Formats: sequence, C-alpha cells, structure tokens
Amino acid sequence: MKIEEVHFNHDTSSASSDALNIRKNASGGPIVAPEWKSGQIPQPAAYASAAIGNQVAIKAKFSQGPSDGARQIRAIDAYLPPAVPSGCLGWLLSLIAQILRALFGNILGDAQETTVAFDAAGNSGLETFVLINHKLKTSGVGIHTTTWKWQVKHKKKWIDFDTTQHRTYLVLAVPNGPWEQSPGNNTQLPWTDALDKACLWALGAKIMDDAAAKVTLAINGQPNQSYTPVTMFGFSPPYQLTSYMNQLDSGLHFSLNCTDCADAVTTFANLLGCDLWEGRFFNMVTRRFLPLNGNPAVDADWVSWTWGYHEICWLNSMGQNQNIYDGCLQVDMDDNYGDTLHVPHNPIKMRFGMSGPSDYRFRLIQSGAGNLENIPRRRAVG
Amino acid sequence: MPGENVLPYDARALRLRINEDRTELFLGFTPWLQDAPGWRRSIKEKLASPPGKFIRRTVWDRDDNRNLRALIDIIECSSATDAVDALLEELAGNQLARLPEGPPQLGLASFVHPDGVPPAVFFARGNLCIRVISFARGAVDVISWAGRLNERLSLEPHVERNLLVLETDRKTARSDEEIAIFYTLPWTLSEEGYLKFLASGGILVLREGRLFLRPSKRGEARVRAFALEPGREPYAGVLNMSIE
Repeated sequence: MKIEEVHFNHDTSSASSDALNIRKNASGGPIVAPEWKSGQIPQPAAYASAAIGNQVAIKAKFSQGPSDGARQIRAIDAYLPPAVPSGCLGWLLSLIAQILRALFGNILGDAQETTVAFDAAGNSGLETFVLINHKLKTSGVGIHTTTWKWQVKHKKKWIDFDTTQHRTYLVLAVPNGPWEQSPGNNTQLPWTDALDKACLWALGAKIMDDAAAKVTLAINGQPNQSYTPVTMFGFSPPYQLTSYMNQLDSGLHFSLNCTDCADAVTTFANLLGCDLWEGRFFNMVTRRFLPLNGNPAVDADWVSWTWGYHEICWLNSMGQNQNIYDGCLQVDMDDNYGDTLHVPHNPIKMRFGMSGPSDYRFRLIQSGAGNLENIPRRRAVG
Repeated sequence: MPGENVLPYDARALRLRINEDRTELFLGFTPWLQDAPGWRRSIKEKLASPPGKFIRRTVWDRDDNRNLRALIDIIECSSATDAVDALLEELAGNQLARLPEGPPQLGLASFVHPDGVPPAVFFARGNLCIRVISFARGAVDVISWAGRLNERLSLEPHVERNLLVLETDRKTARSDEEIAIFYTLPWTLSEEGYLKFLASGGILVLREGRLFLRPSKRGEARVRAFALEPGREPYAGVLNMSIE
C-alpha cells in the first residue's frame, strides 16, 4: 500500500477544522492542497490556534490497496527518542531533545484510524482522518515538523507501509490585515517566507501581547539596520515586504525609518494573529532616544531629532489612552535628561498617554504638539 | 485635538515648473555600471507599485567598505505632473519636518537631506522621480551619484540615421486632442536599455502602456526618440505633426 496525497487545507472557506490559506511570497502562487503529494516537493501548512474548533482533520488518498476491498488505516508520530548515555550527560541530552521536540516537533498528533475503501484498481478516494492528540490549541507560535508513520491494520496488528513528513506553522489566530484569507491567487494571503521569520521571532508565544512584544524586539534588534528619516520600503502602499526581507537576509547594513519599522512590526505581528495598526503623530522635537543599533552605554548614541511626523504601532486602535509598540527606537526612562546616564526601554505595550512618567509621549517628546493623525493604517504587502 | 500633517512645500509652484511646450519622457531608465565606477550592483528589484508607476530599485556596494551602500529608486510615472506628485510623496514620507532644495541643475526640482543626517537626494525629471539614498552607516556622496544619472538623462546623442520608427495614425490633429504615438525599435532593448522621448509643442503622457502627445498649442509639434543601452550605438527617430 502507498500514500499518494495528504491534504491539510481542504476547506479554503474556513480555518476551524483545517489549515489556513497561504502562499510562499508575492510572486509565488498560493499553496493548495494536496500539500504532500507522492514524488513532489512537500509544501507547508499553517494553522491558527484560536480558530481551531472541536475537530481538526486532514484528508489523504492511497493506492496499491486491496482490489474492491477496505482497510483500517492510521498515521502515528514516527518520532523515536534518541538513545542517550546514562548519567548526568544522558539526562542533559535527553532534556535538550525534549526541549527541541517541544519547540519544533510534532504538533499535529496522530491521524485517527479510518476505514478506507479501495476500488478495483486498488485506489482510494480522498478519505478524512481526524487528528487526535494534536497540540494545535495548546502550543505556542512556532514552526514544527511532523513525521507520520502510516499503518494498515492486518489481523489485529498495525503494519507500517509508508512515511510522510510535514512542515507546519502555528500562529495564534487567523492573521489580521494586511493579510487576508480570500482564496485564489491573492497576494495578501499569508506568506510562508514571512511566517519563517515571524514564527521564529515569536517562538513559543501563547498570547498576543507576548507575540507582539517579541516581534517588536526582533525588528528593533536586527543587527544590520540603522536609522534614516526616509521611508525606504513604501510610504504609499504597498509596503515593500519582499524588499525588506531581501535586505534582512543579505546580512549587509541597510537603513530604514519609523514607517518601515511600524510596517514591519504590524505586518509580522498581525501575521501571527495580533491586532496592530500603524498610525502617525506630528510635529515634535524629541528627547534623546536610542536609535536602531545604538549602544545604550555610549552617550553619543542617544540622539534627538526634529520630526514632522513619527509612525508607530497601536494595539487595537489609535488614541491617547491606547497602547503602542515602537520597533524603531528605545526611549530613556531615566528622569534626568541632562546627564549621561540612560535607561533604555523598548516601547512595548506602553500607553501613549500625555505627561505621565510612564507614558510613551512623555518619554519621547520634549516639545511640540505631537498631535495624533487618527488614521490607522495597515499597508498592503508587495 | 486631531493632527494634520501640513507639508511645508509649495506643490502648486513645483507643478508650475513643468514646461508644457517641451517635455521629456523616459521608459526603462536604470542606473548603469558605467554610472558607478568603483561600485558593484548587489540588488536589482522591480518593486510592487500602484497602477501607472514602475519602481526599479538598485543597491550599489563598495567592495572596499561594507558601510558604503547607495540605494537608487527610479520611479517611472505616467507624466511629468505625476513625477512631481511622486516627489511630493517622497517628501511626505520623510520624517524630517522640512528638506532644503537641492542643486538647481538636478532635474525640475530636487530636495536633499540637511547636513548631519544620513545623505539622501530626491529629484524629478521628465516623468521620473529619482531618489539616491545613503543606505548604510557610511555617508555616500549622493549628489555625485544623482549628478551622473542626471547627466545621462540629459544626453541627446547625435545619430546619423533614424532607424527608430515613430508613427502616428494622423499627420494633423486638433490642439485639444491627444495623439497616440507608436514606436518600433530595430531590435529588442536589453534589460539595461531605455528610451528617451523629447517633445516640443506638447507634453508626453503614458496611459495603459501607450504613449500620447497632448498638444499645447497650434502649429508644429515634434517628437524625437532615442534608444540607448550600454555597448551599443544609440538609435533615434523623429516625428513631425501639424497641430490645427
């Protein structure tokens, strides 16, 4: 017996019992089921934890079965714990293996046994298998690999007949804008090239705040970035996500501004299901802050700018009492702005506020109006 | 109190600089290796762009200094007016409250970053809005870069034979109607090749990939075209029309 196809996204209109609609990037087409097909390069699947209902299922097709017969078939996790030496070293290696498995191992669980009927040629139709023991609702954000051992029941014994391997992204909820779920050749479907980054940056996050924080820190901490006042990756839509990721991957230094950082934080965080918006405020002289890749211990790295605008991310909506995320800079939480002592702080879920010492506005703006534009944005990706 | 970003630039005055009697229009212009002695092109991208625009991005690196990188975006618009609007959009997407004007010889209008800020220059010429930006930690002489591009955009090479065929479906036209211009090249341009159109007696515009002359007055209108690419002699064509 042989497995021919495995379908993860078998219902493009819903993500409650199957995988999300995704694509590789702007230029590649959508990834459509079957994601695994015998003899072809397997494609990944992505699940949204919060959208998952009571039952998750895959579909599979088989060949070389019994002519006009039926068989019980199932898939079980093929993982075998590595053999480790005894003693402390063995315990340590075993612990590492368990951690790696929790982070990157199987979250799909097993495919529950199902009776599969075969036609005269020994081919099956597309059969539904319910996933059991899966961790799609309990695991955090991540990229996981599942190896399934496919088995057929023969005289009360399960016999292995094939093996498949699947790469799976897990995000917290159905991606928010600019990402979309309308099927077809839609460039705004979640990109796996972007999921590769977002899922590693927010690895293990189980709640939205944590995911947004991790993405903000990751954007702020990319080692090859520096600040310039020019928008490099698209002030008017689309946000040039492809170009930004090319620069990140190049390892070479490049510069970007606040709009680019806000685009990046919103786009990657919302890919994980967060609900961020980009929004601007105007006309300010800033206090000294730490720009991208500044060294907090070097006083000269703390800089002040006169800005016509600054753009940041807002949680849920814009407003003076709303919380913000800023991946472009770190504010100084030290109350004495005249000395050389600085306390760097990433603005993560910080209240925009007004003049309170823990307000973002107070920590960023020394003088000027700082009026909010009140036009929340999510720039389409390109 | 809701905010509003009022840009401190006189958009109307910038648009008034467009000469409606003599226009330039470029198709496929991109920086050449010849524009950049000592530089290596590390990235060449066509960016996603809204209808009516093409954005070609190149990034240039110095092998002797990883901190020197120049990013050049050629934003090809449908007309000179759209190019000025694209320039204004560049200014709107700049966090600095106001940019000083750049060298007067640089296109129709140019703006630069002030001293002490990572260098950048933005200018509009013909239907192009061009930005040259110091893209890494070292300061690149962006004005020189822009000057070399502007110099090449200014070229009107002397050509012996007009092998580039320019045609229209009429020899006379009214001054209030647009005239479709058709061009046929003697060969297919390479990726580096570009076309330069010069018109007198009207303005050139692109619409859905087609070239049109919008006459500005009665009399004679003339369109000249050049096909230019590295390593090949330039070819040209000319078309004269009577505007009634």
